[in-house]
Amino acid sequence: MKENKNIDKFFKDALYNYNVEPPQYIWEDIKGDILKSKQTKRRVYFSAVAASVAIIISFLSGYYFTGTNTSKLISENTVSQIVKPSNEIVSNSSLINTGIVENNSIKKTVSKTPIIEKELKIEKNNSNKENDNSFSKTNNIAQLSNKLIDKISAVITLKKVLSIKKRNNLNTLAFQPITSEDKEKVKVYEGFVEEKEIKNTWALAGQFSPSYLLGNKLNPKIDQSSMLLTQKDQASHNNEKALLAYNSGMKVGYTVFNRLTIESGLYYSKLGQQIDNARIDVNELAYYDGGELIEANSYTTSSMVGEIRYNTQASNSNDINVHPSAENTVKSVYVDSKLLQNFEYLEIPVMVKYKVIDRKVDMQLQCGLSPGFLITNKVYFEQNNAKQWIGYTEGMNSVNYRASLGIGIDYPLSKSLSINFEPTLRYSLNSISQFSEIKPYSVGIFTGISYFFN
Amino acid sequence: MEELNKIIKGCVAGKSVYQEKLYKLFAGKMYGVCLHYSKDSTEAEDILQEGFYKVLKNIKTFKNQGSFEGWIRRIMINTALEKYRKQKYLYLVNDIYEISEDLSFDEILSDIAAKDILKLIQELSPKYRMVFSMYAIEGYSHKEISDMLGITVGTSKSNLSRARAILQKRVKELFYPAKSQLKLAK
Repeated sequence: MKENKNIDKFFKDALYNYNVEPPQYIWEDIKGDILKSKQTKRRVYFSAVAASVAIIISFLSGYYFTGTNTSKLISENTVSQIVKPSNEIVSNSSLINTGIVENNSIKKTVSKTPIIEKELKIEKNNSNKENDNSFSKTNNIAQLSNKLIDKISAVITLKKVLSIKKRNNLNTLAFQPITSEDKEKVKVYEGFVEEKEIKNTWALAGQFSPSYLLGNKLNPKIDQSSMLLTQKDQASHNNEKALLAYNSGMKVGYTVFNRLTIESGLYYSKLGQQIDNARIDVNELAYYDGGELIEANSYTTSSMVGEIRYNTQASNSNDINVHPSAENTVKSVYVDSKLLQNFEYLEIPVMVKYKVIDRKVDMQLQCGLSPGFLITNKVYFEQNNAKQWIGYTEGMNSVNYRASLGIGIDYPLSKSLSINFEPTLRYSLNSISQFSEIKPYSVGIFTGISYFFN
Repeated sequence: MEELNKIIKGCVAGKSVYQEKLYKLFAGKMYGVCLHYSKDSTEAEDILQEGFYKVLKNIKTFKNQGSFEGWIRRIMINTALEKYRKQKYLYLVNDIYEISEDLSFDEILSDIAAKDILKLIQELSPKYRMVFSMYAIEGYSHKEISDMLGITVGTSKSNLSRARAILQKRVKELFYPAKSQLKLAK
C-alpha cells in the first residue's frame, strides 16, 4: 500500500505542475478556429433572416392567392338577374344592428324571432402571428449530402487501414504509426460514430403550423331538380374562399432503430371557409332538397361544403305539408356581411420518419396517415368584427382521413432539445362532406420544439 | 487575481487581445496536463488546441465558483477523455506485464527530469495512462473515473494496479538499474 502511495506521489510531484511551452503555431490554429466559428455564426444569422423573409413572403403570397381567386363579389345586377322578382333583396343588411329588413314579409318574421337571440361576441381580429422561424436552405442540404459522402469514404478508408494493419500484425496494432491522412479520415469517422451514440430513443414535441388550403377536388352534388337553385348556388359559390387553416398539438416519437422513427400524437386542426355577400334563403314552405328535408319557415344558405342550417326558424309554422320542389316557395336575402364556416378536428396522426441526413442538423423524410375526428361544426355571421354563432353545416363527415408527406429538419438547441421545421403537404383521402366531393389539400410548415429522452 | 478577472471579462466580450493573454497565461501548464494524457506531443497539441478553443467559446459559463485554473484543467482533461473514448477501439492489445520485484521508492533519486517521467506515462497503453493520470495525478476517485470513462469501478482499480506495476518496473529499470539488479541478485 505504501509502495502504491509512493509511486503515485512520485508521478504527481513530477507532473502535476509540469509546465512546457507549447509550439507557437497552436495559438495561430486556435485563432483560426475562433475566426471560422464567428463566420459560421454570421452565416447562421443570415440564413435565419433569409428563411424568415421567405416564410413571410410565402404567408403573404398564400393569403394573396387564397384571397384573390374568390374575391369577385356579386353585383346588384347579377343578383337581380338570378333572383326572381317575387324575392326580396335587403339593400343593406344590418341584421345585427337593427334587425330591420325592407320587405314586409321578412320584416315580420324577423321581428317575431330575430336572428340575433344571443349576445354578440365581439372578437378582435386575430391576426396569425408568424413565428420567427427559420430552416436550412437547400444549399445546406447539398453541403450535408457532400459531407455524408465524405463520411462514407472515411468509413471505407478506415476499414482499409484496419484490415491492412490487422493482416500485418494484430498484436502490435496500437503501436503502429498511422499516417496523417488516415488520422484525418478516422477523425471524420469518429464524428460519425459519436453522433450515433448520443441519439435518444424517445422524443416529445409540441408543434404548430399555419396551412394554406391550396384547393380541392370540387364536384358539388347539387339537386338538379331545381335549376333556379342550381344557378343561384353556383353564383354563391363564387363568393366562397378558404380561411387560413392551422394545426397544433403534441406528438411522441419512438426511434425503432438509428434512422427510423414512428410518431403519433394528438393534434387540433382548424379549417374553414368564408362566404362573402351570403345569400340567405328563407324557406316559406317545406320541401326536399337532394333528399334532405328543408323545413318550412327555416333559413338555409347553400355552400360548396354543404347546406348551412340556421339555429333559428323564420317563424313558428303549422305548415307540415312538404312541397315537391322549392319553386315559388323560397325568398332569398343577400347580406353584405360574411358567413364563416368553421370545422375543428382532433387528429391522431401515425407518421413514419426516415432520417436521410444524420448530422448536427438532421433531415428526415416523413409520411403518414392522420384520421381527423370532427369535433366542432359551426357557422358564424360576421359583421363589423362582431361574430355570432348562427348554425351549422349540414352533411359533414365525422371522420376525415388525411395523408401527409413532408421533410423534417431538426436543429439541436442542446443535447435533449431541438427546434424542428417540417414543411408538409397534406391531402384528404375522403371528402369532408357527404354531399360534395371536397378533398382539401394544404401546405404548411410545422414548427415546434422537441425534447429527447431515453 | 484582478488581472485575471480583467482578462476573463475581456474574453467574455470576445476581445482577441485578452484571449491571447489568457492563452499565454495558461498554455504552458495546460500543455503539461495534456502531455500526460497523450501518447506523444502531437496528440497533446491536438488536445490543447481543441481544449483551449472550448475554454474561449464557453468562458461566459464560468461562474467564478472555484478556481479558474481548475476549470480550465477540467476542460483539458475532458477533451483528452473525449479523444480517448473516440480512439479506444483502435487499441486492441492488452498489456501484460509481470512484476516480481518489490523495491522501495524512497531510494529513487528525486532529481530525475520531469520529461523522463512523463515519457514513462506516455509509454503506457491509453487505458492505463488515463486511469493512472486521473487517479494518481489529478486525485479522482475510482467512482469518478468509472463514470467519466464509462467503465466499472473494478476495471478502474485493476487498470490502476497494472499501471502502477508497469511504472514501478520501468522506473527501477531506467533510473535505478544498479540497485534493482543488486536486490534481484540477493
